[in-house]
Amino acid sequence: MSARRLDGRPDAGALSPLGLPRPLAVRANPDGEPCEVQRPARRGAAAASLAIERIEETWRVVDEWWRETPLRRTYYRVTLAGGASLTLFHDDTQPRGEGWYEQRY
Amino acid sequence: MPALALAAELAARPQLRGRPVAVTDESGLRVAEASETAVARGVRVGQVLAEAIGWCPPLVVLELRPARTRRAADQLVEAAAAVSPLVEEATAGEVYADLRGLDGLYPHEDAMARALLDAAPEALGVRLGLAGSRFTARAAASAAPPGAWLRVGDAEAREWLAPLPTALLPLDEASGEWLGLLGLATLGDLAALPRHAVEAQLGADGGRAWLAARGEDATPVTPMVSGERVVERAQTEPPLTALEAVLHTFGQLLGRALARPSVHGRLVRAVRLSAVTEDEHVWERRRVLTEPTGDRDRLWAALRPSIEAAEFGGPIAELALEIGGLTAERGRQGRLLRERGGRRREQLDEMARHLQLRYGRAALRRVVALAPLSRIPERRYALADYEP
Repeated sequence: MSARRLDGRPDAGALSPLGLPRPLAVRANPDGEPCEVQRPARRGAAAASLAIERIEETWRVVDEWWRETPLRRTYYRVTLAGGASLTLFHDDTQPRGEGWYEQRY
Repeated sequence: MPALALAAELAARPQLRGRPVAVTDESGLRVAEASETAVARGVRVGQVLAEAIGWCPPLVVLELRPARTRRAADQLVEAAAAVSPLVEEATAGEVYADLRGLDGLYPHEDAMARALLDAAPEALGVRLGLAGSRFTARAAASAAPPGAWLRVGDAEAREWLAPLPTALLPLDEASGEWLGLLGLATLGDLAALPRHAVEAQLGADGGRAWLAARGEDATPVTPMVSGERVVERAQTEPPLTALEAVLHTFGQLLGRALARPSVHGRLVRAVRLSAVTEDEHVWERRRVLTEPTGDRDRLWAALRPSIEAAEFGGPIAELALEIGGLTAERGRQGRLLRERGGRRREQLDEMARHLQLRYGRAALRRVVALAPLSRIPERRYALADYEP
Protein backbone atom coordinates (compact mmCIF):
# COMPACT_ATOMS: atom_id res chain seq x y z
CA MET A 1 0.00 0.00 0.00
CA SER A 2 1.53 3.32 -0.97
CA ALA A 3 0.55 6.80 -1.92
CA ARG A 4 2.54 8.74 -4.44
CA ARG A 5 2.57 12.28 -5.69
CA LEU A 6 1.26 12.79 -9.19
CA ASP A 7 4.44 14.62 -10.12
CA GLY A 8 6.28 11.31 -9.92
CA ARG A 9 8.42 12.15 -6.91
CA PRO A 10 8.59 9.51 -4.20
CA ASP A 11 5.98 10.26 -1.58
CA ALA A 12 7.72 10.88 1.72
CA GLY A 13 4.40 10.61 3.48
CA ALA A 14 3.50 7.19 2.09
CA LEU A 15 1.97 4.57 4.34
CA SER A 16 4.21 1.56 5.02
CA PRO A 17 2.09 -1.48 5.76
CA LEU A 18 2.94 -3.51 8.83
CA GLY A 19 2.80 -7.28 8.89
CA LEU A 20 3.82 -7.87 5.31
CA PRO A 21 4.21 -11.53 4.34
CA ARG A 22 7.73 -12.91 3.93
CA PRO A 23 8.54 -15.58 1.35
CA LEU A 24 9.19 -18.99 2.83
CA ALA A 25 10.47 -22.20 1.32
CA VAL A 26 7.93 -24.90 2.08
CA ARG A 27 7.67 -28.52 1.04
CA ALA A 28 4.12 -29.74 0.69
CA ASN A 29 2.64 -33.22 0.73
CA PRO A 30 0.64 -34.61 -2.20
CA ASP A 31 -2.52 -33.08 -0.70
CA GLY A 32 -0.92 -29.65 -0.91
CA GLU A 33 -0.55 -29.24 2.84
CA PRO A 34 2.78 -28.00 4.22
CA CYS A 35 4.95 -30.65 5.84
CA GLU A 36 8.34 -28.98 6.08
CA VAL A 37 9.65 -25.43 6.17
CA GLN A 38 13.11 -24.18 5.29
CA ARG A 39 13.96 -21.44 7.71
CA PRO A 40 16.60 -19.04 6.34
CA ALA A 41 19.67 -18.18 8.37
CA ARG A 42 19.07 -15.44 10.91
CA ARG A 43 21.22 -13.56 13.32
CA GLY A 44 22.51 -16.12 15.79
CA ALA A 45 20.91 -19.06 14.01
CA ALA A 46 21.85 -21.08 10.98
CA ALA A 47 19.46 -22.06 8.24
CA ALA A 48 17.34 -24.99 9.29
CA SER A 49 14.88 -27.41 7.87
CA LEU A 50 12.00 -27.94 10.28
CA ALA A 51 9.32 -30.56 10.03
CA ILE A 52 5.74 -29.58 10.73
CA GLU A 53 4.43 -31.75 13.53
CA ARG A 54 0.79 -30.91 13.06
CA ILE A 55 -1.51 -28.41 11.44
CA GLU A 56 -3.52 -26.73 14.19
CA GLU A 57 -5.86 -24.72 12.03
CA THR A 58 -6.60 -23.98 8.39
CA TRP A 59 -8.65 -21.18 6.92
CA ARG A 60 -9.06 -19.48 3.60
CA VAL A 61 -9.15 -15.77 2.81
CA VAL A 62 -10.71 -14.68 -0.47
CA ASP A 63 -10.94 -10.93 -0.78
CA GLU A 64 -10.62 -7.92 -3.09
CA TRP A 65 -12.78 -9.69 -5.63
CA TRP A 66 -13.07 -6.52 -7.72
CA ARG A 67 -9.41 -6.57 -8.68
CA GLU A 68 -8.07 -8.27 -11.81
CA THR A 69 -6.33 -10.81 -9.61
CA PRO A 70 -8.43 -11.24 -6.47
CA LEU A 71 -6.62 -12.16 -3.27
CA ARG A 72 -6.87 -15.90 -2.52
CA ARG A 73 -4.88 -17.42 0.32
CA THR A 74 -4.99 -20.60 2.33
CA TYR A 75 -3.62 -20.04 5.82
CA TYR A 76 -2.15 -22.70 8.10
CA ARG A 77 -1.29 -22.33 11.75
CA VAL A 78 1.21 -25.08 12.42
CA THR A 79 3.34 -26.45 15.21
CA LEU A 80 6.93 -27.13 14.23
CA ALA A 81 9.20 -29.82 15.54
CA GLY A 82 10.44 -28.44 18.83
CA GLY A 83 7.10 -26.88 19.72
CA ALA A 84 7.35 -23.51 17.99
CA SER A 85 4.20 -22.13 16.39
CA LEU A 86 4.14 -20.61 12.92
CA THR A 87 1.47 -19.08 10.69
CA LEU A 88 2.01 -19.42 6.99
CA PHE A 89 -0.11 -19.24 3.89
CA HIS A 90 -0.13 -20.33 0.30
CA ASP A 91 -1.00 -17.74 -2.32
CA ASP A 92 -3.52 -19.74 -4.33
CA THR A 93 -3.01 -17.59 -7.40
CA GLN A 94 0.43 -19.17 -7.74
CA PRO A 95 1.34 -22.79 -8.56
CA ARG A 96 1.50 -25.26 -5.69
CA GLY A 97 5.29 -25.49 -5.57
CA GLU A 98 5.58 -21.71 -5.16
CA GLY A 99 3.86 -18.89 -3.36
CA TRP A 100 4.41 -19.83 0.28
CA TYR A 101 4.75 -17.03 2.82
CA GLU A 102 5.17 -16.59 6.53
CA GLN A 103 2.97 -13.97 8.19
CA ARG A 104 1.86 -13.10 11.69
CA TYR A 105 -1.90 -13.22 11.81
CA MET B 1 -17.93 18.75 -28.27
CA PRO B 2 -21.63 17.91 -28.52
CA ALA B 3 -21.28 14.55 -26.73
CA LEU B 4 -18.25 14.93 -24.52
CA ALA B 5 -18.71 11.81 -22.42
CA LEU B 6 -19.06 9.71 -25.55
CA ALA B 7 -16.03 11.38 -27.13
CA ALA B 8 -13.97 10.73 -24.01
CA GLU B 9 -14.95 7.06 -24.01
CA LEU B 10 -14.20 6.66 -27.73
CA ALA B 11 -10.85 8.38 -27.23
CA ALA B 12 -10.01 5.73 -24.63
CA ARG B 13 -11.50 2.88 -26.69
CA PRO B 14 -10.87 3.65 -30.35
CA GLN B 15 -11.95 0.13 -31.33
CA LEU B 16 -15.55 1.26 -30.73
CA ARG B 17 -15.46 3.95 -33.39
CA GLY B 18 -17.99 3.35 -36.14
CA ARG B 19 -20.08 1.06 -33.92
CA PRO B 20 -23.39 1.91 -32.28
CA VAL B 21 -22.41 3.17 -28.82
CA ALA B 22 -24.44 4.84 -26.08
CA VAL B 23 -23.42 6.37 -22.77
CA THR B 24 -25.93 6.18 -19.95
CA ASP B 25 -26.94 9.00 -17.65
CA GLU B 26 -26.02 9.08 -13.97
CA SER B 27 -28.90 6.78 -13.08
CA GLY B 28 -27.61 4.22 -15.54
CA LEU B 29 -31.13 3.72 -16.90
CA ARG B 30 -31.36 6.05 -19.87
CA VAL B 31 -29.32 7.05 -22.86
CA ALA B 32 -27.46 10.31 -22.26
CA GLU B 33 -25.37 10.36 -25.44
CA ALA B 34 -25.32 8.18 -28.55
CA SER B 35 -22.99 7.78 -31.51
CA GLU B 36 -24.12 8.67 -35.02
CA THR B 37 -24.28 4.97 -35.87
CA ALA B 38 -26.57 4.36 -32.90
CA VAL B 39 -28.79 7.32 -33.80
CA ALA B 40 -29.07 6.02 -37.35
CA ARG B 41 -30.47 2.79 -35.91
CA GLY B 42 -33.12 4.49 -33.84
CA VAL B 43 -31.37 5.19 -30.54
CA ARG B 44 -32.35 8.55 -29.04
CA VAL B 45 -31.14 10.61 -26.13
CA GLY B 46 -33.44 10.11 -23.16
CA GLN B 47 -34.56 6.62 -24.20
CA VAL B 48 -34.77 3.92 -21.61
CA LEU B 49 -31.96 1.44 -22.19
CA ALA B 50 -34.29 -1.45 -22.89
CA GLU B 51 -35.98 0.52 -25.65
CA ALA B 52 -32.66 1.64 -27.08
CA ILE B 53 -31.39 -1.95 -27.20
CA GLY B 54 -34.66 -2.99 -28.75
CA TRP B 55 -34.07 -0.56 -31.58
CA CYS B 56 -30.41 -1.48 -31.85
CA PRO B 57 -29.52 -4.93 -30.47
CA PRO B 58 -25.76 -4.60 -31.10
CA LEU B 59 -25.70 -1.36 -29.12
CA VAL B 60 -22.63 -1.03 -26.91
CA VAL B 61 -23.72 0.56 -23.62
CA LEU B 62 -21.10 2.39 -21.60
CA GLU B 63 -21.50 3.65 -18.07
CA LEU B 64 -21.02 7.36 -17.50
CA ARG B 65 -17.58 8.04 -16.03
CA PRO B 66 -17.66 11.56 -14.60
CA ALA B 67 -13.92 11.69 -13.87
CA ARG B 68 -13.03 10.79 -17.44
CA THR B 69 -15.53 13.30 -18.82
CA ARG B 70 -14.24 16.03 -16.50
CA ARG B 71 -10.66 15.35 -17.59
CA ALA B 72 -11.67 15.69 -21.23
CA ALA B 73 -13.49 18.94 -20.46
CA ASP B 74 -10.42 20.29 -18.67
CA GLN B 75 -8.29 19.39 -21.67
CA LEU B 76 -10.54 21.48 -23.91
CA VAL B 77 -10.27 24.46 -21.55
CA GLU B 78 -6.51 24.09 -21.40
CA ALA B 79 -6.34 23.92 -25.18
CA ALA B 80 -8.24 27.19 -25.53
CA ALA B 81 -6.21 28.80 -22.75
CA ALA B 82 -3.02 27.85 -24.60
CA VAL B 83 -4.03 30.30 -27.34
CA SER B 84 -6.19 32.94 -25.69
CA PRO B 85 -6.14 34.41 -22.18
CA LEU B 86 -9.91 34.95 -22.29
CA VAL B 87 -11.59 31.56 -22.07
CA GLU B 88 -15.07 30.63 -20.90
CA GLU B 89 -16.35 27.13 -20.24
CA ALA B 90 -20.09 27.48 -20.85
CA THR B 91 -20.73 23.79 -20.17
CA ALA B 92 -18.52 20.71 -20.12
CA GLY B 93 -17.32 20.38 -23.70
CA GLU B 94 -18.45 23.83 -24.83
CA VAL B 95 -15.62 26.34 -24.59
CA TYR B 96 -15.52 29.88 -25.92
CA ALA B 97 -12.37 31.92 -26.44
CA ASP B 98 -12.05 35.58 -27.33
CA LEU B 99 -9.47 35.65 -30.13
CA ARG B 100 -9.42 39.39 -30.73
CA GLY B 101 -6.04 41.06 -30.39
CA LEU B 102 -4.01 37.93 -31.10
CA ASP B 103 -2.92 39.08 -34.56
CA GLY B 104 0.60 39.63 -33.35
CA LEU B 105 0.91 36.00 -32.31
CA TYR B 106 -1.12 34.48 -35.14
CA PRO B 107 -0.93 36.64 -38.28
CA HIS B 108 -3.18 34.25 -40.14
CA GLU B 109 -6.50 32.95 -38.93
CA ASP B 110 -5.64 29.48 -40.18
CA ALA B 111 -2.60 29.44 -37.90
CA MET B 112 -4.77 30.39 -34.93
CA ALA B 113 -7.30 27.69 -35.74
CA ARG B 114 -4.55 25.12 -36.22
CA ALA B 115 -2.99 26.09 -32.90
CA LEU B 116 -6.32 25.61 -31.11
CA LEU B 117 -6.91 22.21 -32.67
CA ASP B 118 -3.33 21.08 -32.09
CA ALA B 119 -3.60 22.02 -28.42
CA ALA B 120 -6.62 19.74 -27.97
CA PRO B 121 -6.27 15.94 -27.79
CA GLU B 122 -6.67 14.60 -31.31
CA ALA B 123 -8.56 11.56 -30.12
CA LEU B 124 -11.44 13.73 -28.88
CA GLY B 125 -12.22 14.93 -32.40
CA VAL B 126 -12.72 18.55 -31.35
CA ARG B 127 -14.85 20.73 -33.63
CA LEU B 128 -13.91 24.40 -33.91
CA GLY B 129 -16.10 27.28 -35.05
CA LEU B 130 -14.74 30.76 -35.80
CA ALA B 131 -17.14 33.67 -36.05
CA GLY B 132 -17.71 37.21 -34.96
CA SER B 133 -20.51 36.29 -32.55
CA ARG B 134 -20.87 33.64 -29.90
CA PHE B 135 -23.93 31.87 -31.28
CA THR B 136 -22.61 31.81 -34.84
CA ALA B 137 -19.32 30.34 -33.62
CA ARG B 138 -21.22 27.62 -31.77
CA ALA B 139 -23.31 26.81 -34.83
CA ALA B 140 -20.17 26.74 -36.97
CA ALA B 141 -18.51 24.35 -34.53
CA SER B 142 -21.53 22.05 -34.70
CA ALA B 143 -21.25 21.95 -38.48
CA ALA B 144 -17.50 21.48 -38.60
CA PRO B 145 -16.12 17.97 -39.09
CA PRO B 146 -14.27 16.37 -36.15
CA GLY B 147 -10.74 17.68 -35.93
CA ALA B 148 -11.44 20.60 -38.25
CA TRP B 149 -12.73 24.17 -38.15
CA LEU B 150 -15.34 26.17 -39.96
CA ARG B 151 -15.26 29.94 -40.27
CA VAL B 152 -18.36 32.05 -40.83
CA GLY B 153 -17.69 35.69 -41.63
CA ASP B 154 -19.85 38.50 -40.27
CA ALA B 155 -21.14 39.43 -43.72
CA GLU B 156 -22.32 35.92 -44.52
CA ALA B 157 -23.48 34.94 -41.02
CA ARG B 158 -27.20 35.64 -41.46
CA GLU B 159 -27.40 33.83 -44.77
CA TRP B 160 -25.38 30.90 -43.42
CA LEU B 161 -27.51 30.60 -40.29
CA ALA B 162 -30.84 30.89 -42.10
CA PRO B 163 -31.45 27.21 -42.94
CA LEU B 164 -30.40 25.96 -39.51
CA PRO B 165 -33.12 24.75 -37.10
CA THR B 166 -34.43 26.96 -34.31
CA ALA B 167 -33.69 24.09 -31.94
CA LEU B 168 -30.11 25.40 -31.84
CA LEU B 169 -31.20 28.60 -30.11
CA PRO B 170 -30.56 28.99 -26.37
CA LEU B 171 -34.26 29.02 -25.45
CA ASP B 172 -36.20 27.10 -22.86
CA GLU B 173 -38.51 24.26 -23.82
CA ALA B 174 -41.66 26.36 -23.69
CA SER B 175 -40.24 28.99 -26.03
CA GLY B 176 -39.03 26.28 -28.38
CA GLU B 177 -42.52 24.80 -28.48
CA TRP B 178 -43.99 28.25 -29.20
CA LEU B 179 -41.68 28.63 -32.18
CA GLY B 180 -42.76 25.20 -33.42
CA LEU B 181 -46.46 26.02 -33.06
CA LEU B 182 -45.99 29.13 -35.17
CA GLY B 183 -44.17 27.16 -37.85
CA LEU B 184 -40.86 28.92 -37.24
CA ALA B 185 -38.64 25.96 -38.00
CA THR B 186 -35.48 27.71 -39.15
CA LEU B 187 -33.38 30.62 -37.93
CA GLY B 188 -34.18 32.41 -41.15
CA ASP B 189 -37.91 32.23 -40.33
CA LEU B 190 -37.24 33.83 -36.93
CA ALA B 191 -34.85 36.45 -38.26
CA ALA B 192 -37.45 37.57 -40.80
CA LEU B 193 -39.89 38.59 -38.04
CA PRO B 194 -39.83 42.06 -36.46
CA ARG B 195 -37.81 42.05 -33.27
CA HIS B 196 -40.56 43.69 -31.23
CA ALA B 197 -42.95 40.90 -32.18
CA VAL B 198 -40.57 38.22 -30.96
CA GLU B 199 -39.84 40.09 -27.73
CA ALA B 200 -43.55 40.64 -27.15
CA GLN B 201 -44.00 36.86 -26.98
CA LEU B 202 -40.69 35.63 -25.58
CA GLY B 203 -39.35 38.59 -23.65
CA ALA B 204 -35.67 39.52 -23.46
CA ASP B 205 -34.64 35.93 -24.18
CA GLY B 206 -36.55 36.14 -27.43
CA GLY B 207 -34.77 39.36 -28.32
CA ARG B 208 -31.41 37.73 -27.77
CA ALA B 209 -32.49 34.72 -29.81
CA TRP B 210 -33.58 37.03 -32.63
CA LEU B 211 -30.16 38.69 -32.66
CA ALA B 212 -28.47 35.30 -32.59
CA ALA B 213 -30.52 34.09 -35.54
CA ARG B 214 -29.26 37.09 -37.54
CA GLY B 215 -25.64 36.49 -36.55
CA GLU B 216 -25.66 39.56 -34.29
CA ASP B 217 -25.45 37.86 -30.91
CA ALA B 218 -23.62 40.37 -28.72
CA THR B 219 -23.13 38.08 -25.72
CA PRO B 220 -19.48 38.47 -24.72
CA VAL B 221 -17.10 35.78 -23.63
CA THR B 222 -17.05 35.83 -19.84
CA PRO B 223 -13.55 34.68 -18.94
CA MET B 224 -13.12 32.36 -16.01
CA VAL B 225 -11.55 33.96 -12.98
CA SER B 226 -8.80 31.74 -11.69
CA GLY B 227 -8.31 32.61 -8.07
CA GLU B 228 -5.31 31.42 -6.18
CA ARG B 229 -5.60 27.67 -5.65
CA VAL B 230 -3.40 25.18 -3.92
CA VAL B 231 -4.00 21.57 -4.89
CA GLU B 232 -2.46 18.47 -3.44
CA ARG B 233 -3.14 15.08 -5.00
CA ALA B 234 -2.25 11.50 -4.30
CA GLN B 235 -2.80 8.23 -6.13
CA THR B 236 -3.10 5.12 -4.02
CA GLU B 237 -2.10 1.59 -4.91
CA PRO B 238 -3.90 -0.61 -4.09
CA PRO B 239 -7.04 1.53 -4.06
CA LEU B 240 -8.25 2.44 -0.58
CA THR B 241 -11.23 0.68 0.89
CA ALA B 242 -10.90 1.57 4.57
CA LEU B 243 -12.24 4.85 5.92
CA GLU B 244 -9.23 5.27 8.20
CA ALA B 245 -6.88 5.09 5.24
CA VAL B 246 -8.93 7.71 3.41
CA LEU B 247 -8.96 9.97 6.47
CA HIS B 248 -5.24 9.56 6.91
CA THR B 249 -4.46 10.38 3.29
CA PHE B 250 -6.71 13.43 3.27
CA GLY B 251 -5.05 14.54 6.49
CA GLN B 252 -1.66 14.24 4.85
CA LEU B 253 -2.81 16.23 1.84
CA LEU B 254 -4.09 18.97 4.14
CA GLY B 255 -0.77 19.08 5.96
CA ARG B 256 1.15 19.32 2.72
CA ALA B 257 -1.08 22.06 1.38
CA LEU B 258 -0.73 24.13 4.53
CA ALA B 259 3.03 23.60 4.54
CA ARG B 260 3.47 25.28 1.17
CA PRO B 261 5.35 28.57 1.39
CA SER B 262 2.58 30.38 -0.48
CA VAL B 263 0.07 29.34 2.17
CA HIS B 264 2.17 29.84 5.27
CA GLY B 265 0.79 32.47 7.58
CA ARG B 266 -2.43 32.92 5.61
CA LEU B 267 -6.01 32.02 6.32
CA VAL B 268 -8.03 29.50 4.32
CA ARG B 269 -11.62 30.21 3.49
CA ALA B 270 -12.64 27.22 1.35
CA VAL B 271 -11.55 23.64 0.90
CA ARG B 272 -12.60 21.20 -1.80
CA LEU B 273 -12.16 17.48 -1.35
CA SER B 274 -12.41 15.04 -4.23
CA ALA B 275 -11.96 11.33 -4.67
CA VAL B 276 -11.92 9.25 -7.84
CA THR B 277 -12.81 5.58 -7.55
CA GLU B 278 -11.14 2.74 -9.36
CA ASP B 279 -13.89 2.80 -12.01
CA GLU B 280 -13.60 6.60 -12.37
CA HIS B 281 -16.61 7.74 -10.41
CA VAL B 282 -16.08 11.07 -8.68
CA TRP B 283 -16.97 12.17 -5.17
CA GLU B 284 -16.59 15.85 -4.32
CA ARG B 285 -17.36 18.06 -1.34
CA ARG B 286 -16.69 21.74 -0.94
CA ARG B 287 -16.59 23.39 2.46
CA VAL B 288 -16.66 27.14 2.80
CA LEU B 289 -15.73 28.20 6.31
CA THR B 290 -17.78 30.82 8.11
CA GLU B 291 -14.58 32.07 9.62
CA PRO B 292 -11.33 31.64 7.67
CA THR B 293 -8.56 29.93 9.55
CA GLY B 294 -5.01 28.74 9.07
CA ASP B 295 -5.15 26.33 11.98
CA ARG B 296 -4.78 22.75 10.76
CA ASP B 297 -6.79 21.21 13.59
CA ARG B 298 -9.72 23.54 13.00
CA LEU B 299 -9.65 22.87 9.27
CA TRP B 300 -9.53 19.14 9.89
CA ALA B 301 -12.41 19.37 12.35
CA ALA B 302 -14.44 21.04 9.61
CA LEU B 303 -13.51 18.50 6.92
CA ARG B 304 -13.54 15.23 8.79
CA PRO B 305 -17.35 14.90 9.15
CA SER B 306 -17.79 15.25 5.39
CA ILE B 307 -15.32 12.44 4.75
CA GLU B 308 -16.82 10.18 7.41
CA ALA B 309 -20.30 10.64 5.97
CA ALA B 310 -19.18 10.12 2.38
CA GLU B 311 -20.40 7.29 0.16
CA PHE B 312 -17.60 6.84 -2.32
CA GLY B 313 -19.13 4.12 -4.45
CA GLY B 314 -16.00 2.02 -4.75
CA PRO B 315 -12.31 1.66 -3.89
CA ILE B 316 -10.55 4.99 -4.17
CA ALA B 317 -7.65 5.32 -6.58
CA GLU B 318 -7.01 9.05 -6.39
CA LEU B 319 -7.56 11.76 -3.78
CA ALA B 320 -7.23 15.50 -4.11
CA LEU B 321 -7.51 18.41 -1.71
CA GLU B 322 -7.77 22.01 -2.90
CA ILE B 323 -7.66 25.04 -0.69
CA GLY B 324 -8.82 28.42 -1.90
CA GLY B 325 -9.96 31.82 -0.76
CA LEU B 326 -6.57 32.47 0.77
CA THR B 327 -6.58 35.66 2.73
CA ALA B 328 -3.93 38.04 3.95
CA GLU B 329 -1.28 37.40 6.51
CA ARG B 330 -2.09 36.64 10.08
CA GLY B 331 -0.15 36.96 13.33
CA ARG B 332 0.51 34.10 15.69
CA GLN B 333 -1.34 34.47 18.99
CA GLY B 334 0.38 32.54 21.72
CA ARG B 335 -1.48 30.84 24.54
CA LEU B 336 -1.13 32.07 28.10
CA LEU B 337 -2.28 28.85 29.71
CA ARG B 338 -1.15 25.50 28.27
CA GLU B 339 -3.48 22.49 28.15
CA ARG B 340 -2.46 19.32 29.92
CA GLY B 341 -0.31 17.26 27.56
CA GLY B 342 0.02 20.22 25.26
CA ARG B 343 3.56 20.95 26.41
CA ARG B 344 4.72 17.39 25.78
CA ARG B 345 3.14 17.43 22.34
CA GLU B 346 4.90 20.69 21.55
CA GLN B 347 8.23 19.24 22.62
CA LEU B 348 7.66 16.19 20.44
CA ASP B 349 6.70 18.40 17.50
CA GLU B 350 9.77 20.53 17.97
CA MET B 351 12.02 17.47 18.10
CA ALA B 352 10.36 16.09 14.97
CA ARG B 353 10.99 19.36 13.12
CA HIS B 354 14.58 19.36 14.28
CA LEU B 355 15.17 15.82 13.06
CA GLN B 356 13.46 16.57 9.78
CA LEU B 357 15.73 19.54 9.25
CA ARG B 358 18.76 17.51 10.28
CA TYR B 359 18.12 14.53 8.01
CA GLY B 360 16.07 16.12 5.26
CA ARG B 361 13.11 13.83 5.75
CA ALA B 362 10.62 12.77 8.40
CA ALA B 363 12.56 10.84 11.06
CA LEU B 364 9.69 9.82 13.31
CA ARG B 365 6.92 7.47 12.33
CA ARG B 366 3.73 6.41 14.05
CA VAL B 367 1.42 3.44 13.79
CA VAL B 368 -1.87 4.14 12.06
CA ALA B 369 -4.79 1.77 12.35
CA LEU B 370 -6.32 1.48 8.88
CA ALA B 371 -8.59 -1.57 9.04
CA PRO B 372 -7.91 -3.39 12.34
CA LEU B 373 -10.53 -6.03 11.65
CA SER B 374 -9.39 -6.81 8.10
CA ARG B 375 -8.85 -10.46 7.28
CA ILE B 376 -5.73 -9.44 5.39
CA PRO B 377 -3.03 -8.74 8.01
CA GLU B 378 -1.05 -6.23 5.96
CA ARG B 379 -4.17 -4.07 5.56
CA ARG B 380 -4.67 -3.58 9.30
CA TYR B 381 -1.91 -1.26 10.42
CA ALA B 382 0.70 0.89 8.75
CA LEU B 383 3.54 3.20 9.62
CA ALA B 384 3.11 6.83 8.68
CA ASP B 385 5.36 9.81 8.99
CA TYR B 386 4.85 11.79 12.14
CA GLU B 387 4.08 15.27 10.91
CA PRO B 388 4.28 17.99 13.54
